[in-house]
Amino acid sequence: MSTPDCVLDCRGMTTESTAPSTTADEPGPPLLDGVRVVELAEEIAGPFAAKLFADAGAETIKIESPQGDAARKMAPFAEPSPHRETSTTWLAYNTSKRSLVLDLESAAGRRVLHELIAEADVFVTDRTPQQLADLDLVPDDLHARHPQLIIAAVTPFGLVGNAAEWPSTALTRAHASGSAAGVRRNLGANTGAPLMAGANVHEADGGTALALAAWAALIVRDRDGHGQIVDVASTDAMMNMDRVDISIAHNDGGPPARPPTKGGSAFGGRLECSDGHLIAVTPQSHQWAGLIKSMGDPDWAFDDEGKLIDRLELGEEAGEAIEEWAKAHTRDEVFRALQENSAPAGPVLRPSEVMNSEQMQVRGFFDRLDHPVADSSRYPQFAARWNRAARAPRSSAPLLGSSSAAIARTHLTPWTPAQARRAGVIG
Amino acid sequence: MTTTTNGANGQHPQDGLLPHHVGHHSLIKPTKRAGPLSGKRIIDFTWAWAGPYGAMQVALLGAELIKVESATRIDHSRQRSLAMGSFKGGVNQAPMFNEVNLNKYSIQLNLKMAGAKQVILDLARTADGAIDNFRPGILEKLGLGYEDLCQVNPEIVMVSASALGATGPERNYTGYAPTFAALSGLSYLSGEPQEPPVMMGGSIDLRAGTAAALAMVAGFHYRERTGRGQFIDASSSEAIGMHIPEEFLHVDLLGKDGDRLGNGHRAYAPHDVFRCASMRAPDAYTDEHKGAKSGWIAIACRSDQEWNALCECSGLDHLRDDPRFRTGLKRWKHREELNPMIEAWTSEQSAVETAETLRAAGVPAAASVWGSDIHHSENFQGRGGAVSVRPPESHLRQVLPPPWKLSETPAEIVSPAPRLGEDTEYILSRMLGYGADKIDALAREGALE
Repeated sequence: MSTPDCVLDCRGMTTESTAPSTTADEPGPPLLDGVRVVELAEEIAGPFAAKLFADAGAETIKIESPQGDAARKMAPFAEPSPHRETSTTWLAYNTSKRSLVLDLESAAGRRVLHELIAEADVFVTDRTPQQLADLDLVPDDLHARHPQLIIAAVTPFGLVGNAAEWPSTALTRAHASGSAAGVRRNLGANTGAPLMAGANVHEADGGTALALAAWAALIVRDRDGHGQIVDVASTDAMMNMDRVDISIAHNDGGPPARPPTKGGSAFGGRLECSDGHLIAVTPQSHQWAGLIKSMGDPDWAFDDEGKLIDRLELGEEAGEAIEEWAKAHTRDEVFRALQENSAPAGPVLRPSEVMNSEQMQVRGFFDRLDHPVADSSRYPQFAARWNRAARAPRSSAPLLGSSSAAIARTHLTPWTPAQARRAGVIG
Repeated sequence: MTTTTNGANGQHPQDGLLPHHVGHHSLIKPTKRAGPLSGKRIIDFTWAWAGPYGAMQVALLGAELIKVESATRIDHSRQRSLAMGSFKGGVNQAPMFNEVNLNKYSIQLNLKMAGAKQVILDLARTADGAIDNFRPGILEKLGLGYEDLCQVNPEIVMVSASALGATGPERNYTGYAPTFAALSGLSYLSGEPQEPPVMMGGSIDLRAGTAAALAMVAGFHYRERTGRGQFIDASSSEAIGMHIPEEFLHVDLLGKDGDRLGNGHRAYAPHDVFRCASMRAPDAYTDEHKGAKSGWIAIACRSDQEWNALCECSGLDHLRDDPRFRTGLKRWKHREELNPMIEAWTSEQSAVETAETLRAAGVPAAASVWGSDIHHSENFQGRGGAVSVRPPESHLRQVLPPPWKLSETPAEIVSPAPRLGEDTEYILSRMLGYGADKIDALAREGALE
């Protein structure tokens, strides 16, 4: 069992300063020590926001239906497969949380949810306005009932607006936001089908945006006691990632001219090495000089007086020479040579190569978490290190309903077994 | 739609104290900014895209951002971009610079000069935070690293966002968005299944910036709770990696790396983007709508119900009884046959109107939009639409609002990006209280270049 239920107790926690009596050099408590989060969300965006809080030390109770988060059914699965505890998507986005199963179709289940929200600092949800209304959780009403609460909502098209109830999936959201068109345009190809980026990165964007705004709202709440509604549309968050190019396309009368992105163009690009691809980008003159130096200062790059020729004046031949050079070397050889000469470059790494890179290992970007059903695995951390706040201990995603009994015991209004049954509590 | 004009054309009515200098920010005084970070002052050393966007999000949330710039080392997004190449206009006209530097002040300082360093230290005394995206060690060499700022202000929260972080053997390596994506695993996973991995662009920078902004906000929150400032070492490559956590689990739990799926899905079909005859029906275009003439529509069916609804409202009703497509698994197995049949239909339709019809029938669908078509989309308009800003030496521009709506402390765009050094005098005289003699001395030294 990876979640230490026995040490968690909602009642003892406050949101007041947790300033310890440590010396300046010792790290203080984890970032969100003592903060309470209740999550009613599924799949990627909402759970990612809540995971960012949970991994930072917030006590995070995830409310699940008896069937569990839909992510539990998303392929692929670790062994045993398929199994509601072994979806990699489920495991990845729900670390450090506790799971409470509630039947929200029942009045008793909804009452428990309302009680938990009343005690929380942050309520993370991905439910649409209509779904929230069905649960008697209309954000404005909820804010009026609990003025100290941060209501953090990430929904496909936002809480306001006439698209709020549109049916959508990750695919249609990525295209409705312009994100997929943005990926295609960065290929230097203005024709061809718009293209989603890999993994679930577009969906995760909504989660990061929500975490950022809700965390800022916590500052206000801690200062003057006022909570608020944080309304993030996933599609707005995705759209913002391409705001520069979208603006240029909209305001400046059409798409900007694009230099080719193949190897050897003015600014480098994707190069094919002997063992895979590498990206080199040299927008600045000294970086271009570094690329040429890495190649051993070939004659064609210099004029009769030995001066480096402006790369814009070099034609396709230069590109071909660079491509030929790259092909004769491994990604790592080209990467190190370019970086030694201050030319920005990066090999196109497989995830497995990222995990095995010395850089990531030295920085401790991944830590290994055990799980009672799936094998142990390495999980990425947040992308920053705070030098005076301790990292919170993390745990793997909770088994469905694994904290139900413990939460029932420690809850302000202890439930009888009969009440728990009525509320749909299992586990 | 709200309009934010540049203050060079008009003074704040209450700003009578310094009539000779009206910076663009004087239209809305810092204290009137409503965002949750209102009252916080941050020194912004960032340049290019990722760092400035991170700092800008903190500014959109109400903090006062002082961008430190120098003509001796211009933020190159004022001059060129990876995607566009060189920008032909002046340094105050670059559209890409405006997009990631809204709501900021600009002070022009040559940090190699002693006087300029003193200005930074004086600012640091009054500041809550600092953010940079230099290679690790650059600010330290200038005598302006975390330790230096900490000496004058122990509670300062400083975020340093570098390509690969401030520790480890590759800490001195440099990078841009495409290399962050390459080094994180995302590039490898992006693209069509049978094609090479793709080079990613600006969205990667803005994702890295978002992670840096989140780190800074967490630092501020922590300081308010514990009294502790701190140094935050952020890695832009890790910032992309943290957005794809499941891909690392695939390695350990499935024993293999993930695949490139393009617009496809591991289990659902149809799940793709299909070519249309046009973006909109011809009569939907108005004079001001410079939309794309060609169009694409994304359609995803996750269930028999959605599939049946698609068949019913698409004129593809005959496919419903086709044994190849009868179950979800069969549709997925035969998707190579199915997709062209759907495209044969969509290629005679307009994307926006067809998506509306499909959604009304309960089928997840959306026109795949870009540029002006985003601005004209129903979902974007329904959220309040664009914000108009007039950068100092440019035309009126419509920009995207922040990605969040906050009910009590709204995040707002209050000014366009500043001209290079636009607020130097304002910051020195008004914020720091320097007298004219002192400012003249700095100018003579070359500290204000």
